[in-house]
Amino acid sequence: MSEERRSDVILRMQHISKAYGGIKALDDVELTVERGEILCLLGENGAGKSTLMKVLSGVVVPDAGEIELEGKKLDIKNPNVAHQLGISIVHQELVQFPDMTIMENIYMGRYPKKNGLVDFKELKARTEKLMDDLNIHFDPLEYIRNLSTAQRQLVEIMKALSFDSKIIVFDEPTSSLTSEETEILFRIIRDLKEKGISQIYISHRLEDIFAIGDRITVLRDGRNSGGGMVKDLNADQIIALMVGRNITNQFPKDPTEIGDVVLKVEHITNDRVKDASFELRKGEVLGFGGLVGAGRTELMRAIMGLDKCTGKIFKNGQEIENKTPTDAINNGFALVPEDRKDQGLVLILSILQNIEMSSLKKLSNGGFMNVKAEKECADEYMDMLRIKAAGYNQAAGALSGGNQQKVVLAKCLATKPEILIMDEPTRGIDVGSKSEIYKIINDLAKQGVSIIMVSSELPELLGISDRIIVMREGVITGELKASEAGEESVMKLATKGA
Amino acid sequence: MKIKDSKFANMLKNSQFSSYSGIILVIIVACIFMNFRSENFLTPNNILNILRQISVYGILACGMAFAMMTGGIDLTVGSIAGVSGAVTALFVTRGTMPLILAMLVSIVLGAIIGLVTGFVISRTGIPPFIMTLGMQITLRGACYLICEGKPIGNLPDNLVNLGLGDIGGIPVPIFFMVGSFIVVGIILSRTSFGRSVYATGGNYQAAFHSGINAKRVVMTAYMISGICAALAGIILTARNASAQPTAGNTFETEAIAACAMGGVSFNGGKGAVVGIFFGALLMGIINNAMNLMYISSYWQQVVKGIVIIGSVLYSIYNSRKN
Repeated sequence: MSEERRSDVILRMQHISKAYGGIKALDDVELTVERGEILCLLGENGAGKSTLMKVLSGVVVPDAGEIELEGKKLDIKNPNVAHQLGISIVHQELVQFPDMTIMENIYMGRYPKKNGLVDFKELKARTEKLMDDLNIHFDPLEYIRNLSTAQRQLVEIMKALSFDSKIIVFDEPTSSLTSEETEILFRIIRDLKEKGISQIYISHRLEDIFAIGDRITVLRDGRNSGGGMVKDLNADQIIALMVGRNITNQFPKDPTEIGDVVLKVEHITNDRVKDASFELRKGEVLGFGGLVGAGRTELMRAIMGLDKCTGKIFKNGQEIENKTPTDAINNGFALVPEDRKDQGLVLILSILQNIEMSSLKKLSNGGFMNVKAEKECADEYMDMLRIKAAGYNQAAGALSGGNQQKVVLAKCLATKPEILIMDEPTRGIDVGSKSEIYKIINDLAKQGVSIIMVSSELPELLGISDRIIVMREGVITGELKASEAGEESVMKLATKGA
Repeated sequence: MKIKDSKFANMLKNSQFSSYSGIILVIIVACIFMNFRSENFLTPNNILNILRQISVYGILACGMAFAMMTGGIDLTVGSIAGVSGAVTALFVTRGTMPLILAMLVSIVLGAIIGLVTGFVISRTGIPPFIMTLGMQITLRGACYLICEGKPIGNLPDNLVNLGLGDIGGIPVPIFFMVGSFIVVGIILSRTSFGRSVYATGGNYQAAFHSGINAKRVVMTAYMISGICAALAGIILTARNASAQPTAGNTFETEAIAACAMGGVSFNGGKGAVVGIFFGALLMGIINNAMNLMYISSYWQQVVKGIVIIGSVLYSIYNSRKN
């Protein structure tokens, strides 16, 4: 960066590091924003974007590093201070009070007062002024509950402006907007830029970046991996900056014999998935790639009978119906859900009670549990998956993340599934457990189990799968042979479509 | 220190057992204290007396436990008891229905009421507190209508004997209570339905994802509560030798208290029959002890309330420590 431009720098974050346990979420990261600039912050899931923004807003205190705002060193400790200093974040998941009005949400905790009571007249006037500035027109007395996601986002933007923010951070703002709504948002972002307000724009969507971005900064594995002016870069270069990493032989993929088609899914459609069709073969590991929110989880939920959908499912050539998870399990399906604590386990119950949860019918006789069989079942799978615990009576909540995931897996395997669906099977677990789970996937495939693995980690997806299907915004955008696919080709399908 | 791997040691190590240590301690202290205060306390007669007194609450608590373990609550039990007592009395006095058939009708009626309550709760997502509160009031009204506002008396001996009679010196209600505890204990600890109750109450979403029909589990839980309440209502009517329109009024609080003191979690997923029994027993001991000490019933209520709060606070403290 040249010397004369340095004077325009409004925000400078330097040498920011933050570690959780042994894992470095941020490692000596740098970020600068100039006045009136739209900086796009890019990176894969888990690259450290969110953590960096949390540091900026004061939610996370970094282990090391400096933050300068307009040349003054900051000691950002909590979000309130961040607001006062002129930094606001429009979060991906909006934090609002649905049963309060727009004006109450915007000025929450800062109502103008008159004689010790809230001055609603003044509150309304101020809100109307904000709306005029943005050239948007809502009733300030409308309840948030009645607004669409896009409208709520605009309320968040108004709130940011009400703090006289110098910098506004947008965290994946368009992920749930329609294209018209996105246009309105872009207009506002450009207006704000005209007014000299700097913006940090976090998104996976390359078209957004080309539409509004001035400059990009890319993070990868918690480090800066490059950047530059948007006008000097093309999509391939940006993708390469996001994923370019050497794949080491972390995933020893044994060649397995792939058999006939076991599962055929046709035209699965619901409000999050559009016309998804694919096939799965015996002993195959089919990877599902894409960005978070691409509809992969929703497709799996539809197949498992967790969500309603239209479309057809054929198993071994015969049409089946999975109306409920119970049907799906009886039809030979099993799901390791995305969120093991909320959907996978009953944390207060024992390992044994968790493992047997999907197999109660098999382990009972006329409604009465076969105590011997359930203990043998727990022993068998704890042994097979090497679950480290004091015994099967230990509460699942007392286990480490990796062992908890193995308990969920044990629960699925106890049903003897033919088709095992795993949604982000290694999220949030340690490296050792990860490689154990990879090995288990390999072994199961060899035994003839057909596996679907949804994963947002590209190396894992490429290393474990035989074949990869990529989704974007609810649509299957492409299919790749794992042996021929690279991180770039997956990322391209995930961000741009075919 | 290594504990030998005997059955007893296992029981001690079992987390469920250790969570009852508080209530067992309170019961022992209360018994020792009362033994010094009154020589009548630890006599076989008085012990049987206490057990007879807790029979109705104990049976109600058995049913309540199912609702609470699925993460809900059942405020209808007192009213169902009233209705079932009234229906039984009506059939055996005005009609010529044999007692056993009248009881069966009442119990089926209790089951249906519970099923309806559970159906609405599991399908609509209405908070169980509201649903069962509404049903409680409605059913109490129904109870007055059945009784036409007056007690139904002149009950036949065979019905009265269920409440006041004894078999081999042991009051009949105790057999019903012990039977309820055994059946419920077996359901909870030995059946696949019992496993589903713990799973659904412990984490509804995880149970649903695991292929458990969670809606049906919730529905069945309220049905069982209705059955227990109907049975308790028959015993209560027999003990009073008449069906009162107000019978069972506020008994749900006693049942909830017994469950809470016995370690049944309000968040669901936790609880066992042993604890519920201890909870009911403690309530009975407190009542009986204060009667023996000639403490007025007004003061009894004050003390009972404080003991309920204290024992639950202790169990919270105890579970945090673990």
